[in-house]
Amino acid sequence: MKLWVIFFASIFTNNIVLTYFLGICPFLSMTSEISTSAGMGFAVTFVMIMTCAIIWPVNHYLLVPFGAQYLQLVVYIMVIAVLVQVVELIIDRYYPVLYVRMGVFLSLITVNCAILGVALFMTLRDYGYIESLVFSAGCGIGWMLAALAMAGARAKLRFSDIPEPLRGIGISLVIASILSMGFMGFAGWINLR
Amino acid sequence: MDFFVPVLIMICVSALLGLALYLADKFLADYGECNIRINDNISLRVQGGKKLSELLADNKIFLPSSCAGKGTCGHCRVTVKTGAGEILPTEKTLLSRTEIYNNVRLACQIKVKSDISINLTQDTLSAHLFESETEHIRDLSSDLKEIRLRLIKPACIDFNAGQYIQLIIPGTGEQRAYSIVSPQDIKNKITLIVKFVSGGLCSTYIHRKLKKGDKVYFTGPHGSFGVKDFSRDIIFVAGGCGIAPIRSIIDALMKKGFQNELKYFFGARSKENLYFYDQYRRLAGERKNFEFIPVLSHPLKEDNWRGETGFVHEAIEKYSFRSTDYHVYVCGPPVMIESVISVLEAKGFSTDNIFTDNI
Repeated sequence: MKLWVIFFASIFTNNIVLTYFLGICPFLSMTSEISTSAGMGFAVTFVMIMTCAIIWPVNHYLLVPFGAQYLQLVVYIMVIAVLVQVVELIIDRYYPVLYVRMGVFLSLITVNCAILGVALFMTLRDYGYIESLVFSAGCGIGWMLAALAMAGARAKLRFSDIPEPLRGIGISLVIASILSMGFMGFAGWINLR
Repeated sequence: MDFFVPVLIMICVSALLGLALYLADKFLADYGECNIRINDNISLRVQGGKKLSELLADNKIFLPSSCAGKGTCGHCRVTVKTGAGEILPTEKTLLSRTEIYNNVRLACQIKVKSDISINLTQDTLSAHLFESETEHIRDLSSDLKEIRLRLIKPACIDFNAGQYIQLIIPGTGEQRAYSIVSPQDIKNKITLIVKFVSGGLCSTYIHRKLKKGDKVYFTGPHGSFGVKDFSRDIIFVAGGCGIAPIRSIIDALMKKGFQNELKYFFGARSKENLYFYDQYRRLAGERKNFEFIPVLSHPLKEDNWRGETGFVHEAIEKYSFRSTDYHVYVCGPPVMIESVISVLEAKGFSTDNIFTDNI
């Protein structure tokens, strides 16, 4: 499959959060401010690319030759956990302000299902190494784009008159659904099936 | 043989990941030696990367805390002059705007990454870690125990009536604050009163586990609740186990030969909770300047109660004071403190003359 198809499809039509509903928790909780959601987007993208970069060789050179694919889930989770820990140390050291903003959500990337989802999709669709990297980068950017769009919309919400029962998470979910329909508008252009 | 393959794979993967984490920790989380300057005259060399409160405790400086550094109690306030970085969202919820403006921070949330300069009060600097032995436990009511601790190391404590200690709950690292009930001139023993709180960590330990002879560790003395001006007439308002610091303060005033007017409002549920009632009744009979006004919110039939009823702030509302020039010391649950303050304000008391202590 052409690399650009994988890349753009994973950003738009096969967006990890708006199409597959993976990584919804930080998507809703980290999008109250644009700067925070951008920071979280970068962290998620970085962890996704690094995860795929490490998991692909582990899968192909360790698990597949020994016929131990059934260990995929547990090995993937361990790799993700360690990566998040390292990313946390890096951010704490070099970007303390971002570290403060992200708070506990940074550690929560460990259990962000978007990342495990990307790793499993990559294995399931049998991508090569470069394809995997492009796919993970696309998914990360897709997540960030969705989060930024959401944060932008929510920034406007502060000044709008929302019906009482919808305030807070209710209106966020409505926005998410409209956003996902918007992203599906690209379906005729490009698709990953 | 097939059995060993997954085991070996898991060992390999774990070893590699462990190595990666070790290296990251060694090179990324190493902040080297940092310097903590306190009040511009004390300097501590510490290994960076840990929380400020932990580093201070390692150096025998004990800040009050009751959440084991989780950033939820807000007791470990320090004023930071330089080197603490940006304020954290966890701190913002507990600090007021003025405090944030004045660079007040929570020591349990600050990670020391570089040289840092802070201000601590003299009270904080004079707090020590004490080892003590439980000498006596008795029930004051069905849910209140009085415990007496004999100090072992150091053998004496110097405190002002109204101050509190932080009792360390064994095995948890958590601490809870209890005001010292005993008089300030007894220096080798302290008495505390502990109300049983369902699900409460420390009160459960004290009510269910603590026995005579058990070792208890605490830090202290902390806090600045106490009589500010001995030349003024004084009103004390206590609710429930808010009597703890006030008992110690009244004792100190009586021993000092306090001559000014002294009123003591004490709110309780029923007569069972009017701790030390007889003692204060007797004291009120002996001393002309001391007036004791107990108030029961839910008196029982068998109490045969003829005194004030209702909540303590309602009794204060009904009472006609000679002037609004008293100093008022209020100790009790936060709701009671709030209502008392609003009643006093309505009566014309200035908030500058009202001093409070939460329990």
